[in-house]
Amino acid sequence: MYPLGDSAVILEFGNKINHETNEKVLAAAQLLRNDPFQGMIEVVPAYTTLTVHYDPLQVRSSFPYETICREVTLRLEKAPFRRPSKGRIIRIPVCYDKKFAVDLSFVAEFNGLSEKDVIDIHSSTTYDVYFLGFSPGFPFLGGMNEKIATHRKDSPRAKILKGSVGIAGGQTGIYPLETPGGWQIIGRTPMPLLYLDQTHPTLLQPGDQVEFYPITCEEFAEMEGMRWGSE
Amino acid sequence: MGVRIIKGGLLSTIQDGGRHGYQAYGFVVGGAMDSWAMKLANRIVNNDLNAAVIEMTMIGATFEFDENTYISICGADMSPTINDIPVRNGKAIFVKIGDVLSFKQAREGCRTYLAVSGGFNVAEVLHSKSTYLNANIGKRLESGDVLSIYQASNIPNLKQRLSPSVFTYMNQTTIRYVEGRHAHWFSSELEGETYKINIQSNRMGYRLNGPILRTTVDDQVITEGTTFGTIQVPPNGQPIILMADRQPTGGYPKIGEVITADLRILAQRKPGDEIEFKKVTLQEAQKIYREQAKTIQILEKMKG
Repeated sequence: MYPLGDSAVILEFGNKINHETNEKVLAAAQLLRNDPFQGMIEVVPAYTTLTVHYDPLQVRSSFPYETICREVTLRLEKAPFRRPSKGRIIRIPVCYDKKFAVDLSFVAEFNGLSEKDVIDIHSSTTYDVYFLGFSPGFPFLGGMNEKIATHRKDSPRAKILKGSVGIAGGQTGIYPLETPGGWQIIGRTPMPLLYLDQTHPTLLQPGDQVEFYPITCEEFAEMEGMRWGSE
Repeated sequence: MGVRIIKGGLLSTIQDGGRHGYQAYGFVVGGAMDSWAMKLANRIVNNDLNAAVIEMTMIGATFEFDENTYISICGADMSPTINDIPVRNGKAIFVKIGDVLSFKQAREGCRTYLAVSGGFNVAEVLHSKSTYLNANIGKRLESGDVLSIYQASNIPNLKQRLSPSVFTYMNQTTIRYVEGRHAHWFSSELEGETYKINIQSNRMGYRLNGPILRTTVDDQVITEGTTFGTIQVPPNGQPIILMADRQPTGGYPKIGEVITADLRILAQRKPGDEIEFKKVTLQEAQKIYREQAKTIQILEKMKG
C-alpha cells in the first residue's frame, strides 16, 4: 500500500500484467465498493493496482492516511479472495477495410504476416477488459496474440476517429471518442462505447470479455445508423 | 430567463465539485481548478459549496442579466464592472434585470469564479454539471448562450465582505508537495527547485520547464491511478503536474504529489509563471488541508 498524495492510496497486487493479478484488483475493487469506509470517494482499477480516492476531511483522525490504510486492510483481510463474478461476453463488429484500417498494412508487414492473417488473429481471440482509462470508456484489453503485437507510432496522430480499433505493443483497444492517440489503427467499429445517460455510462466494464468479428463496409454503414441499446 | 452571455472570454465553462465515481469508467473528475475560490463564491451567496459556477480563464466574459439576483466573484482579479462601475471580489452583489457584468484580463492569478444565488441550472451528466469538452459534456460559453438559474432560497448578507487577505495566495509561488511512490527512482528531487510553467499547459496538466529529472532505475511504470496534483516525469525529464481534467490513470513515474491545500495556488499560476517546490510530509499535508478547510467553516458564519 502506497500513498498517492494526501487524498488517495495505491494498492499493489503484483508487478506483471496478467489475468490472475487483474482478477485480484477487480475483486478488491468490488469488495471496497460493497463495503466503503467513511470518507471513501471511489476506487479505480488498473492492470496490477487499485487506486482508492478518499476525502481526508471526512476521516476522523489526526492522520487520515494511517486510518484509511487500516480500514482498507481490515476489509481486504476479512473477506476471502473471491473470483469476481464472470463478466459478460460482448461481441463487437469491426470493419477492417482499408478505409478505416490505416495502419493494417504496417502491422502486417511489421509482423511478417498478410493483412488477412492479422484480421483472423485479431478477431479469433477472447479478450479480458482489464480496466477502462485513457479516455471515457477506453478499454485496456488483455490477451492479444503476440504475433500481431506492434509498437506505438513514433509520433501520435492528432486525431483518431471515434470507434477506431488499435494495437499498442501487446495490447488492443478501442477509441470511444475522437482524441489524439498513438496506437496503430487496424479497423473501426460502428458500435458506440459511451452511453452518457445511463447509470453505467460505458458499453464495457472491467471484468467483461470482448470478441471482435469482422464486418464489411456495407454492414458498417448499415450498423452506423442503428440505435444501439445498452443494458 | 437567467444570464445571457455577451462575450465568452478566452475560456469560460460551467464547473462544480467534479464528476466523482466514474473514474473507473475512464471519465475525468474535472470540476473547478481552484475549488477553494469556487467554494468561497458559493458560500457568499448561500449556495451549496460545490454548486455549479462559471470558471473564467485569463480573460473574462461579459454577461447580461435577465432577472434580479445576487452574485459573487472570487479568485483572480479580472477588474469586474457592472454597467461600467467597478465591483469587488469576495462579496455578495445585487444585480438587476438589464445589468451588464463584464470582466477583463486577470491582473493576478488566472481563474475567476462567478456564482449566482441558487446556482446555474444546467443539465447534469453523470451527477455533475462540470464541462468536459473532450467528451462533449457541456460547452465552452459563447456569445448568445443563455443560462438559467435556480430560484434562490434566501438573501445573502450584502454587508459582509471577505478580507482581501483571503486571496493573497494569488501571488504565492511556493508549491508544497509530498514524495511520490517513484521518488527513489530519481537522482535528484524537486525540493527547492524552480520551474517555469510551459505555454502547453491547460486544465488537464501543467508542463514545466527547469532542471531535468533523470531516473536511475531501468524500469517502467505499469499504467496506474493518478490524482489531481500528481507530478509525473516523462522520459524527457521535464515534469508534468496533472490538474482537474487529468486522465484517471497514467504510465509515467511519479516523483511527487502537490498537496491538496496548495492546488489553489497552482490553479492560479499561468504559463510563463515560475513555481518553487517545497517538500512536506504526508502527515503535515493532511494537517495543512484540515486547517485550510476550517477557514471555510468559519466563513459559514457569514450566512446572512
